[in-house]
Amino acid sequence: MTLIKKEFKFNFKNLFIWIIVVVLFNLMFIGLSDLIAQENSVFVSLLNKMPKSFLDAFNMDPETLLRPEGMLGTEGMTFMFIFFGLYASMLSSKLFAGEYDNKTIEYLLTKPYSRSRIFKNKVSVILINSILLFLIFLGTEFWFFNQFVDREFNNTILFAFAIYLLVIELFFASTAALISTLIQTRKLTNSISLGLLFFMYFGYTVTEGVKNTELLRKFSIFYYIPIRDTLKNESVYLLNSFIIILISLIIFYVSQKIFEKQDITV
Amino acid sequence: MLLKKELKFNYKPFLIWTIVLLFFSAMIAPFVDVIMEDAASLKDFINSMPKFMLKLFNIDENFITPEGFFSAKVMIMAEIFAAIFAVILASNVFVGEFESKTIEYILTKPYSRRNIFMKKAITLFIYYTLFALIFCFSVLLLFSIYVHYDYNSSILMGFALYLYVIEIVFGALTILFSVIFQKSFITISATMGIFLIMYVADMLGNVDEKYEWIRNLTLFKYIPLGDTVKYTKVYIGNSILFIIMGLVITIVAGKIFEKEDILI
Repeated sequence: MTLIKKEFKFNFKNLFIWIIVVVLFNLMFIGLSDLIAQENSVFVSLLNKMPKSFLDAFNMDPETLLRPEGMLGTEGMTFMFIFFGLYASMLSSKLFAGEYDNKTIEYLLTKPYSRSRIFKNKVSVILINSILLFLIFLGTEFWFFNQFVDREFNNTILFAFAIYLLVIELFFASTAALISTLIQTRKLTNSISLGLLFFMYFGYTVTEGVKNTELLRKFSIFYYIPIRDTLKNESVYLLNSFIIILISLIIFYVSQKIFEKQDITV
Repeated sequence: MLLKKELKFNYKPFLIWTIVLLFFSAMIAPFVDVIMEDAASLKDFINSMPKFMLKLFNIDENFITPEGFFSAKVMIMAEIFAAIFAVILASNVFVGEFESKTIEYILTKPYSRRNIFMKKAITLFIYYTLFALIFCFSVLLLFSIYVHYDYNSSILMGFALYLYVIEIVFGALTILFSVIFQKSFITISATMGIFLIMYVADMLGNVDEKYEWIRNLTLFKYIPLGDTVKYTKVYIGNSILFIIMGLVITIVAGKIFEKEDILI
């Protein structure tokens, strides 16, 4: 408990900054959702007349743009996916690779805690921070939608957005933990895990509508939690989300096993 | 000697980020021709629309060009990508030294603080310049190979310039926060928070004239991708001003670094 408390305290400032950014983001985006949708309505009727290949190429979907959740889903979630992935990767690399970089890992290992306990405590801090940020997003999302959006909106879709962000957080936190235990330097861990985040996000979004890229898209986790289909079908990809969270937990477990047996590079 | 060491220590992250960006530019370039096959009908469609409607929705036939398509498909992501690359690299070079306590060792070397700071800043500017140049030349090369429709090379070069401006401004902010906070996570969080709020504010300021004032506070108003394509004009003056602003921020950070106490 002391370890968790200590780590949580050390990382609270960052969590606080990200909470402010997420709240401001939701306020700006959702606050103007109705206005944007009104402006879009004439534009959308024009978009309907354009060739499908063109709309795909420019990532435009007339149906989703008309929905009250459409603007946050199509434009806003792009940023949120990247920034939640960035936050989780940075937090994980700080908690794991940071200890190697600062050489504090040696000090930590002299404490009367088992390696498995140290690892689990660090993962607990990641889970607490990730869930808190997820709850802040979910809470402010519902609050601002109720406050600013006059049209009827779908609570399931709003919940889906938030749960996808939690999925992204856990997946990239776990990969950063694995890379940290393997490479033991924060600099390279950050570059590889953020490179992976961009590779997956670019791989899914930029290649949308581009021929012969289907296989590449399937390598991205964003393919399995598609915002556009969520908006269209008004359903949450819960099973996919659950599987990705399970994979993340397995990655954490593998990292723990490596951490328990590895020699520390001094 | 210091410069060489810094360059060597940071080439791996630079390579990883450059390869990811190039990979996706290479994937999109061959697709430009496919889109342009529908260009004639789309231009007819746009020209058939009432003029007030085009103005209202900021639609212009210049968007139906290879560079317009590239701007919509790649550049928005590339800007976010360049910002994160710049921030991560700057935090590696500066705040990384504080966190790993190697700053104490460096400061015992027979170099002045100014010299150490300058070498680190030069390392960053070398990598930022290389990143923008590689992006510029590879996009021009990819377009010359794959795109068989007319396109404007200077607009493509302008896109690379905008990435450079973003790198310099957000890199400089990271340097400033690095010397102030001396901790990487909070430095990265603060800089990326500013980036995100600026980006979203610019986007939303575009929606309604009532909120347009908010765009004045963002960098992206002054290097607008949409207007660059629409008016076929690269905002070189604004870009230079922001590069100078980035340099000024770096100088201020240097002054702080010269006088600050190192937190142990």
